[in-house]
Formats: sequence, C-alpha cells, structure tokens
Amino acid sequence: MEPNDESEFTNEVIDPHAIPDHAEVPFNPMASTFRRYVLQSTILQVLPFLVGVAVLWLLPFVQAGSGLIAAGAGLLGLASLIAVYRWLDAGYRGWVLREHDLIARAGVIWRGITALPIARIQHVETTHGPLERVHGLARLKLYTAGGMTADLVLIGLPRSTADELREYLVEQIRKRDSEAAQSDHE
Amino acid sequence: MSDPHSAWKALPVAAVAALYISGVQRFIRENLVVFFGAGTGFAISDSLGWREFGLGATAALLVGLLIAMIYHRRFRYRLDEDSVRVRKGLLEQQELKVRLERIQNIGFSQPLYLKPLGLVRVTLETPGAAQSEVNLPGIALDEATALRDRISAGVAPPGRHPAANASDAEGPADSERGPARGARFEASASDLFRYGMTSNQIWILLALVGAPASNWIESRMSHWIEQLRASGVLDLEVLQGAPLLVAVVVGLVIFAAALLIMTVSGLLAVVRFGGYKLVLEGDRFKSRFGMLDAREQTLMAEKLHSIEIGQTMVGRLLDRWHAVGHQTGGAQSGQELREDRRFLVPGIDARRLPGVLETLRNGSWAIPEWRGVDRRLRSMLWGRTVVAGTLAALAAWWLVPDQAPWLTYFFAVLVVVVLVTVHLVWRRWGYALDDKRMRVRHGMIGQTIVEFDMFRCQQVSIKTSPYQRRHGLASLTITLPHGEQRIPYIERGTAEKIANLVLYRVETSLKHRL
Repeated sequence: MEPNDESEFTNEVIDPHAIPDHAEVPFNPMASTFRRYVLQSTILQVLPFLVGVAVLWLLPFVQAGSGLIAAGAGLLGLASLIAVYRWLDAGYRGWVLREHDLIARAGVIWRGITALPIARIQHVETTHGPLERVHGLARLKLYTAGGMTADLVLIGLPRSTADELREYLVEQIRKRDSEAAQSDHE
Repeated sequence: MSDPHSAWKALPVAAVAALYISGVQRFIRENLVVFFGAGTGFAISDSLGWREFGLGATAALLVGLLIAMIYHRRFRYRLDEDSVRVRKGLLEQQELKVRLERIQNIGFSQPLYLKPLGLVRVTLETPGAAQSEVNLPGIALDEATALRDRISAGVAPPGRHPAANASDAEGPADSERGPARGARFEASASDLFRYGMTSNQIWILLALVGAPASNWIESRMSHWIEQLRASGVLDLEVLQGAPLLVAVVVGLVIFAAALLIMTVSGLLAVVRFGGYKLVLEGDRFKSRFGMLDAREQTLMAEKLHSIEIGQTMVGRLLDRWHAVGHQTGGAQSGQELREDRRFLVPGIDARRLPGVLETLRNGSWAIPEWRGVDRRLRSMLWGRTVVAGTLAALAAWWLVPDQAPWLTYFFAVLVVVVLVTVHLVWRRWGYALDDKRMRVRHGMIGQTIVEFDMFRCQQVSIKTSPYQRRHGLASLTITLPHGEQRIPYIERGTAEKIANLVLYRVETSLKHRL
C-alpha cells in the first residue's frame, strides 16, 4: 500500500476543528412533487394484490369470503403504514453537493447520512420511470469502482436538477482523470 | 507501431487439452446437483443399464471435445502497447480489451495435467466485474512470463520499471523497503498443515456435503448398531440405563470425526499451498505455491488497498494467522469463483505476523490503542435475547404443554449461549486509528482485523436508530473497494469525527484513481 505520491509529500499540522463537518451542512430537500409520487407509487404497488383479492372474492366457487376480507384489510393496513413511512421519509430526505463530495440523508426511524467523495465516482447515470416522468422527477445513480450496483441513489430529484448534477459530476470525473493522466506522464 | 507483440495470436494446439479438462471440471462443478439427481435416477431405473450410461457419457465427452476445439479455433489474443485484447466465443464473437494499467493481479496456474504440456493458465484481474477478466486458458510458460513482465512494466508508475530492473530492484525509490529480493515469508509443511486444520473452509464444505451425506451416514449407523445388537456385543437395554456413558461415547465419536476432518483439511492445505513463498519484487508482491496445481500470483503493491488478517477459533489454539491482500472488486456476485484467487498468505505464526504485515503494507506502523464499541450494544442485544427466549418458552408452555419443561431448559441453555456469544463479539469489536490509517477488528473467539489507508475509502455513512439517538450513539460504515467495514455503537461525535477525517483524507489525496 502506498500513501500519497512522495514527490508531492507535505506534512502540515491539521487542526481537527478545521476539517469540514459533513453532518452540519444545509441539506437541499427533494422535489416538491416527490411526496405525491411516493404515495402514488405505493398505491400502484399494492393495487395488483388488492385486485387479486377482490377477484378471488367475486369468484363464485371460492368459499373463504371472510378470510379474503381480512386479507384485503390487512393488505390495506400494511400499505397505509408503508405510505405513511415513505411520506415522512420523503420529507426528511435531503442531499447536498459540496466541492469534493455528495452527501445524502434518508430514513425516519433508522436515519442515515452517506457521503460519497466525487473522487471515487466512476460513473453517473440518471433514470426515470413513467410515474417519475409524470411528476417531473428523476433518480441519480452514482457508481464507484468494484461495485456491481449503484453505490448511492438519489431518488426524487427534479429532473432538471438530476441532469445538471449528472453533467457537473461527469465533468468533474473527466477533469480528474485528465489531471491524473497528466501527472502520470510528468 | 512496429511492436512484435501486437499481432493476433492463437493458443498452442496443446491448449485444447487444457480447455477440455477445465471445461469438463467446470461443467461437473456447476451441475453437481443435476449429476446427483441423474445418478439417483440411474440407480433406481430398471430400463437403463451400464451400456446406456457408457454411451451417454461418451457422447457428452465427445460433444465437450468438439466445443473445446471450436473454442480453441476461435480464441485469439494480442498484446498491444497499452492493452491486452482477447477475441473468443463459440457462436457469438466477443472481444475484450483491457488496459494494462487496469490490471491489478496476474495469476498463473499450472495444474498437474498442464505440466507435461509446458503450459500455464493466465488470469489478468481488473477492478471490474468477473466478466471483464482476461483468461488465457493455456499458453507457453516463457510466453506467460514475458507477458507478465510486460504488463508489470506497463502497470508500474512512472519512474519505476520493475520489470526492467527486477534483478537490481533496489533503486532509490525502493531503498526504504530494504532488500527487495528474496522471500519475505515461507510456509513450511507444518505451518500449512496447522493452517489447514484451523481453516474455516472445511466446515463450510462439510455443511454443503453434510446434508446429502447425512442420510447415508444415518442408515449406515443404524445398520451397524443393528448388527452389533444382533451379534450380542451391544445391549441396548444396558445403554438405556446409562445415559452418561452414551453421552461420553457420542462426544468421543464427534470429537474423533472433527479431528479426522481437520486432519484431512490440514493435508489439503499442504497440497494446495505446498512450498508457499511470498516475495516482494520492486513494486509487486508475488506468491508461489501449490503441489498439484502450481500457482503464481502477482499483485501490484499500488493496487493493494487493504490488508485483512484473520485467526479462527482453532487458529488461536494453534497460533496460526492468515493474511489477505484485498484489491478492488473482491466482494461481488461470483465471489466464490474469485475466492481462491485472492491474495492469501496462509499459516503465519504470531512471531512472523508483523514481518508479513510490514511487507504488505510497505513499512511499519505503531498501532495506536484499540478502542471498543459502547456497552449499550451488548445490553441491547442481551435484552433482545432474553425477551426472545422468554417468549419462546411461553409459546412452548402454550403450544406443547407436555414437552414444555424440556423445551424451557433448551431455551434457557440457548439464551445463555447467545448471551455469552454476544459478550464475546462485543468485547472483540473495536477500531484503532491514527491520522491516516485505520484498523477495524471483529470476531468472537477468533478475530479478523482489516487495515486500510483512509484515502482508499469509497464512501462513509453514519446510521442511527432511535435507541442510539437517545444515547448519543451511532454506527459508522466505511465502504472500501472490496466491501464494508462497520463499527457499531460508538459515540456520535466520534463517528462524525472519523467520517470527516476519512473524507478529508480521500479528498486531499493525490491518488484519485484506483
């Protein structure tokens, strides 16, 4: 393992208070339509199951009527709980782009803050499903080396913001790689 | 570009044999379950005899040979100035191009059947997915060595040319490393045997094989006991009257079986790692080992991003550690496949461990004091264990009242075992850091320690549960290129401080590329 390049080695004293604090940054909220989107997507996810239960109930040869009603009610209850959780979570979620990293926070009961240094991003991608398109939303996926899946996904960004972020990050990656290539040649 | 190397090359004709054997091996390994099923079907079927079996097997082997020949015919590779290219594919032609600087590990493997042919199998690993690896299934040894040296020269950072000066590697840049030639660690047969006995892998293997084999063992055992009883040697009535004797006998049998398995595992390790040597040559580590399958692994020092040392429970008794040099892309799907290709240093005793570590991390490090995780982790887990145990016992009284006293004893013992386990895990979990490096330790009776430079980190994340927030605690997760390191239940302020320092190290590092 090799620490930094020896030719550029410096050893200045670091004041621990001077190291930027990643938890104390003003987070940007997600898009205003994001809450509506999570509610609708929860409904869409549970709808096929509810329709299935309803069809079974309507079929003349299926006898377990009360059981089906209970299952339907249970499903509805669970879906409402999930919807409430995701609604609250949508309000708590936030992101911030700093000079050298991107920080995201999420979660209501179990809260998490994740910081991804831009220096470690290998690949950036934005995607949007049909429902996200309706609400003008997009998700930004950030990949680092070695991972098969995205390492950080920002959901619920306004589409224009997601595109701008992607362009900015791609530019940063390009700049970093060309600088690294240059320093390799020197 | 009048590079003599830069022409498409075919594999030597003898490589068909290599392709064929490795293909058959892979086919059997990947379809083991199907073979078990087919074997059972064959055994119970009356209409199928040995002749049908022989015909089927011959047909399958011939088809395999045909596939190997076509694959060999279509396989081409070339080495350009800055990349290696491979063209392959049976029906669909696939071309793979890997830049030399992306290659982080060069693996040679020479199984017994390749030795007379003078061929080696070469694997060039990259940080990406397993599909983006270059595999040359059989090329001549001297060509492979030339390829390795060329790649190493291409990979080396500017100013250092390890391939060119491999014989006089003590250039100015390497002077602080001390003598660059010669083995840094050699494992004797006894080291390896003891390592094999302590290795966890045999138990994993046993668990896999154990399930299908258990039925057979059970039927054999009952048959055997029945025979003993019939011959009058064994009197079951007497045994029923002496439960302690039965327990002792069963315990002895289990102990003997475990000892036997460990011995087999030890012997396997001697065969697999026989003659293990770790060498530092300029900018690369090399390990050579293997009695039947002679292997050589070359890992660029620059591509090594963390070192893991581990000691299993039995390893603690026998004073055996092992070290693993991690590179990017270890922990992903298909990990089992890459498992035996990781850069492993087996059978190290405590006395030689610091030397191996210093070699791998390129310098010594005065390890700061270990810091543990908060005792609330233990109390939280203890609390949950006791609640779960009590609920299970109550459920037993309610559901199966006649078995309840027994089950309650069982749950009580289980709870005690889990409580002790939790305590051991909590006590072991810890971290140590200075300004630039960090170590994370976890385990129960054995232990695993991962050491890394902070600037190698990929991502930092702090998570809190409501319980943790109430007590000002947090769990810190540091993502390294090969996987995550988690430190649960430390003070929130400390977690944030470490996270900030790690980010600072990454962001001020000049090595932005991996």
